[in-house]
Amino acid sequence: MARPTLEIRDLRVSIEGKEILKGLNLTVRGGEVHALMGPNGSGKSTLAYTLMGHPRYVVEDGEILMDGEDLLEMEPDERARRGLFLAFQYPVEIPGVTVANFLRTAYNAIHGNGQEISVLEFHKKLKEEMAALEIDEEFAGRYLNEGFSGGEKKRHEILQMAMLKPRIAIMDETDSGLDIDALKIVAEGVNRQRSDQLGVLVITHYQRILRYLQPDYVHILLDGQIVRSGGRELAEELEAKGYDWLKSEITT
Amino acid sequence: MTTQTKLDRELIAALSERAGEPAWARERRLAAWNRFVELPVPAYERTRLKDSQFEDFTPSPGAAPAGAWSDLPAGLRAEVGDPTGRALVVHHNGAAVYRQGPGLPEGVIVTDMATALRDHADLVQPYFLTRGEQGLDNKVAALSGALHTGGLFVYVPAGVNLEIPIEYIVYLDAAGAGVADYTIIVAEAGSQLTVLETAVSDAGAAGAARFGLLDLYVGEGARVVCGNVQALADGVQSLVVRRVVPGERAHVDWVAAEFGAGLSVNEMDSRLEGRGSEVRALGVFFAGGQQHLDLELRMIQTGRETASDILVRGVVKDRGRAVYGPYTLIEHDAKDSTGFQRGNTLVLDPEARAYSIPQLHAVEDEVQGAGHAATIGKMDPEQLFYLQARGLNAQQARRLIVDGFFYPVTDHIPVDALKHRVMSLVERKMAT
Repeated sequence: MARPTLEIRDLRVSIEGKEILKGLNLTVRGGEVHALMGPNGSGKSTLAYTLMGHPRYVVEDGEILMDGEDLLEMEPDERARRGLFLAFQYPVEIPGVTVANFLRTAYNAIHGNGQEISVLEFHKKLKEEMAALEIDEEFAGRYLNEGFSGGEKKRHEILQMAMLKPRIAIMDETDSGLDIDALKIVAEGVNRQRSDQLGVLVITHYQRILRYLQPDYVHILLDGQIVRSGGRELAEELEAKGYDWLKSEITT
Repeated sequence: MTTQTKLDRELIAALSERAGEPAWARERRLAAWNRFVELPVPAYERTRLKDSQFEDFTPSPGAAPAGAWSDLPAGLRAEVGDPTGRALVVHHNGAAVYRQGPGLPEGVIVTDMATALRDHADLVQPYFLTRGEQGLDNKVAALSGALHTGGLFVYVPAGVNLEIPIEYIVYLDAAGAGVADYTIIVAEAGSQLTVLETAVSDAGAAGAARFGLLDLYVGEGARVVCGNVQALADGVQSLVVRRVVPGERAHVDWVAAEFGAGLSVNEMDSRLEGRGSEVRALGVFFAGGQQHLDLELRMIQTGRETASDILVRGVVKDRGRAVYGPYTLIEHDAKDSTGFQRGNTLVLDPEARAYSIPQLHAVEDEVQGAGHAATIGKMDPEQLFYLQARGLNAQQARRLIVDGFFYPVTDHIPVDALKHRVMSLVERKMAT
């Protein structure tokens, strides 16, 4: 099967009249892990939400193509069905809906149409993935995200990624608020899914997670645009020298 | 809409005579009729009832008895589902038309009210329309008491545990007809039983009206679950009063599910006089189209160490309106009692309306606990986005959120069959 591709071209996005992304260009392919790093306010979450189709973000210009198809024409659920996945920075609580029930509903919504997975098969896979992510079995019966700690919520986002098998996964600051142990578990969870059939965009402020989830490419987002791209050494350089160094580098 | 037969004293007396009821029954019906005439139209804060709602209907045509389950109307059978092994008493336009059920323990009586007045008059007499005389009445209760043709009589002797739920089906299919029913349930000391009522109608029963009265008698230490599912068609009006005065240490679970009718007022009155008695009320409502649903729950606690708990959740969509009106009063001398209310409504569409009118009064100082919380809110767009981001379309996402919204109440419904029925009625409502 052909490798998945996400192409972002000259993307300009505003929210409540304020322009946040000012012409962003990026391509992510299956088999690649891209890190997008930037200080607060650079537009990281804006990009994540825009890719998924959040209604409050207005695309002023540009294109987003997934496997050659225009994503901007699609509702969020259709994007998910094409294989786009967003690991949220702040996953919402859905009271009364259990983790297991939700996951099976989502799975069937995305992979359904005659390929619905049997309840037994599903629960077997769920058990395996939960164990690998060190999530207690009892969480399957808990209401989605309700009363979960930050770390638990993030691990559940990765659990969903593992169960739903996306083609392009965007991780929106999945590392924020996690301690080292949780970070390793999350990174390992993503590493286990690495393949030709998965392209990953890791959006982060810090370099920490990139030690465990090693990127192939690193991009720096500053003031709504990608100002520098490189290999993983770029992340280390940024960590050592800080965003201010980079800003001054750019302006000179 | 003028009645061919005038609704008056003579009609009531004739009705009673034709049914061959004892003289005392006729007298009490007439006394109820007098109360009906004198009492004002009930004044609910957000539901305007008019005199016409008590007048504009034709007498019920009744219906012929059904020899077998398959002879009953298709709509009724579809709503009730597979009858195998169930204890069912079916009324069609106020006439008892069918019953089935396994053998009952010795001394247990389950029958329609008309038969009970013929075959068990002595047993019925202490309970028949006596509460009205004690001033526990309103216009709906009085009319139902006077005019009833349908209704159930259930009697469970002391200490008997009736495991199988008794199911009472009220079915209407006569356009413009008024059907009144009166049900008496007696659970003697230490007994246990579950009674589930379902009200359903044919879509063609436009303008039909159901008036209902339920008198629940619960002896010391007895436990009763009394559920009612109202799934009438949109053109039907339903006004029902249900009342209980539980004995000492008795426990009552009301479960009310309001999904149908163009106008429905379901009033459930509990007077907790018996020391240590407990009444819990679970409510689920879903108003769509142009429906107006009103759930009035009254807990009046005068006994010591009594406990009341109201938990209600509802959804309004399209131009539906729902009123949630819990009223709890912990009177002086009801020491060491508790009274709680929680009500939440979800508004799905901009023209839908929800009214929440909780009242909680604790006159007694030495109360163990009392509190109420009520919310009315819209669906959270971030929740919708999250679910859509996982592949659910907008409709599927709304459905999942609504299912989850009702879960805290449906999870507490003590009868599995009832729980599943309520959940599938929610599904059905979401799909329209």
